[in-house]
Amino acid sequence: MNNFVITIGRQLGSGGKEIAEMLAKELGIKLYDKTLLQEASRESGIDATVFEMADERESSSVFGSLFSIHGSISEYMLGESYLDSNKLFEIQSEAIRNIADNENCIIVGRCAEYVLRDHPAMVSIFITADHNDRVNRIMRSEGLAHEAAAEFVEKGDKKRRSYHDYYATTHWGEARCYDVCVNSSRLGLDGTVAFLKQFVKTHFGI
Amino acid sequence: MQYILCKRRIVYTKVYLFCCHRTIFTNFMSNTTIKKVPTELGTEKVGRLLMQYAIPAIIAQIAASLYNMIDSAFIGHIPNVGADAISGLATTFPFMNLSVAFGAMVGVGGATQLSVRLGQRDYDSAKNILGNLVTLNVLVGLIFAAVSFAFLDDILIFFGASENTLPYARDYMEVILLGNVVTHLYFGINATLRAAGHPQQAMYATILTVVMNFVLTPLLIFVFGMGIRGAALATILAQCITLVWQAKILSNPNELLHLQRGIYKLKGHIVKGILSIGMSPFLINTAACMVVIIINKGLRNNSDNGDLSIAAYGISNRMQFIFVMIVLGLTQGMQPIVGYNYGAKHLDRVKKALVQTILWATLVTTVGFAVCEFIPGVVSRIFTTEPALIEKASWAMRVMSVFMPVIGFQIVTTNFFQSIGKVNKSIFLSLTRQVLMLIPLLLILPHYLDERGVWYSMPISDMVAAMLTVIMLIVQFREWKREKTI
Repeated sequence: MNNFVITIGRQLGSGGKEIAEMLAKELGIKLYDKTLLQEASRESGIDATVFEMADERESSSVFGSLFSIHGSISEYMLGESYLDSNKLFEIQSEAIRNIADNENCIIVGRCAEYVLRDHPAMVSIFITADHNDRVNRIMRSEGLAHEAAAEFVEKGDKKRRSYHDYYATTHWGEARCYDVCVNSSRLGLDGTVAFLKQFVKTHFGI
Repeated sequence: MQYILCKRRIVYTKVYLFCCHRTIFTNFMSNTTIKKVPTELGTEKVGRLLMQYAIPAIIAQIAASLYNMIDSAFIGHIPNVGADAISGLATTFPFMNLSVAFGAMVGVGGATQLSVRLGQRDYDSAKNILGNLVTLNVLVGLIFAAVSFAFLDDILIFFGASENTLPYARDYMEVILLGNVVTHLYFGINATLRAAGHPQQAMYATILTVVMNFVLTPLLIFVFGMGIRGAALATILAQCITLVWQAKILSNPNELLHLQRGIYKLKGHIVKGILSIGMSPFLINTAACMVVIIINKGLRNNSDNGDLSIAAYGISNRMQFIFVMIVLGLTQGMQPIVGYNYGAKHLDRVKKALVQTILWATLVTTVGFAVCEFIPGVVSRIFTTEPALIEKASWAMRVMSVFMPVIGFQIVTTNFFQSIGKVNKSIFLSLTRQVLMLIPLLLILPHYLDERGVWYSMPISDMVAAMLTVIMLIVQFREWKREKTI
């Protein structure tokens, strides 16, 4: 059988990252999150910091990339730019596909479930959590006060949604766009990992 | 298996896209990998790369600016047509800008969305975007034409027309508006062709339109005696013919992306996506339109012969425009080189590309400066035979071009900031020259200097913008130096 791939989307502070790490360990496969950027950088020769600038953030240079047309009254010449976030996303998607074609792995974020929608063996997961749990987790991890953490969570959702929905045709966090959506507050991190592991094993017959 | 087959095909399409600027010269269609071009961008001599990428872009820009000049040049040579007709034509320029603004909103928005989807091999979404783009183009084109028709005289007067020039402006615009849908479709589909991996065909379409227009305009004006309407009709006819050809290319069912049934029904999320991306080109073009209106108004209110001044502005502006367009072509050639090397952290190559582009651009605008300062009469005669207008336009050209050599530097650096991802700086600098500095000057100076105030505003804002650009560039270079030493 082909190699399989698990994509994990997550709300900020839902524990999605920890769950992904634990699940990868349990299944003995590799996990790609921010490391994807290094991968994309290695393949394209473009510095990883450039990818970081555009990572999981709304495409801001769309406005800019159009500026090359100013003054051009009768032609829309779209100037090519390798720092255009559309182009960067394309290179990053290519890296995601290469990885998913070659090894069993978990990919976190970066619209992976859309990028890999034609992959023959993919399970897409989305992880949420109760608002309070998310705020508490962010307070701990970022060392923020309650108010600030709540705002952080809200902004994070907004950023991820606009990033996702710009590049993908599916909708971020909407149940019908994923195979499994799970609230990590119900079973806790360990319980959620066990549940997901069971699901993946049954589905892929391993 | 299908997954893999599909992938091969796209790699090929992508190579094609990457080479968009060089397709005229090198027809390389071999199935090399996508990485080939970027590597070349990081290793090949900067000067050579610049030539390779800039020359096709410059040709396209020259074609586009010629296209804008053809009508005025031929109309200026209709026997017994005076400054009034040329002035009337000049008041239609902002109108055309506005039409382009609406066309760009749909065309650029759609093409950008399309290229994102094609990059993801998402052909289902891509074909719906194509269909929606066509429908939106038709809708927006029709609505724009209908509203403009209803208020045609009022709009033209608002744009600077007078009792004497209005009939000419109306004659011209009526025909242009009747063909407005064709114009929007033509530009929209050309943007689509480029995004869909046919930059070569898009380029041919542009050249075809320019050539057709160049042949048809004198034919309709002089042979068929259709006057100013003939010029407008030639513009529309040329676009019609090209549109048929474009439609033929895009109807080929073997194309991954082609015109087919069932894609034209508007979908809310696609329309929203197109319009939100298209908003910025829309605003840019609307701003360009506003500036011309303010200049026309300033000339009308402060001059004892407003019509003549507006006609002179139309001529000298078009002359400057050619050189600006060549510089824009240069910057389009620079962008991929700077962008890639900045991304790969080859700062020395980034600087080299910038410096070389600035030198070339300065050469271009200095030639423009020399032409406008020393032989303004000769170039004015391209657009008119009327002695009074030649004299006025020559004077205007001399004033407007006083600081022209610095414009090259200003435009290149503005686009440079964009190429390295500093979009806000780029937008700020671009707005300075054309809006932030210019509009206040246009509103204030005439109080003290009358008509001359309007004319002086333009070179002054060029100079101020250039100085600001120098400062921002120095700051940027210092920043890099500091980063290096850390």
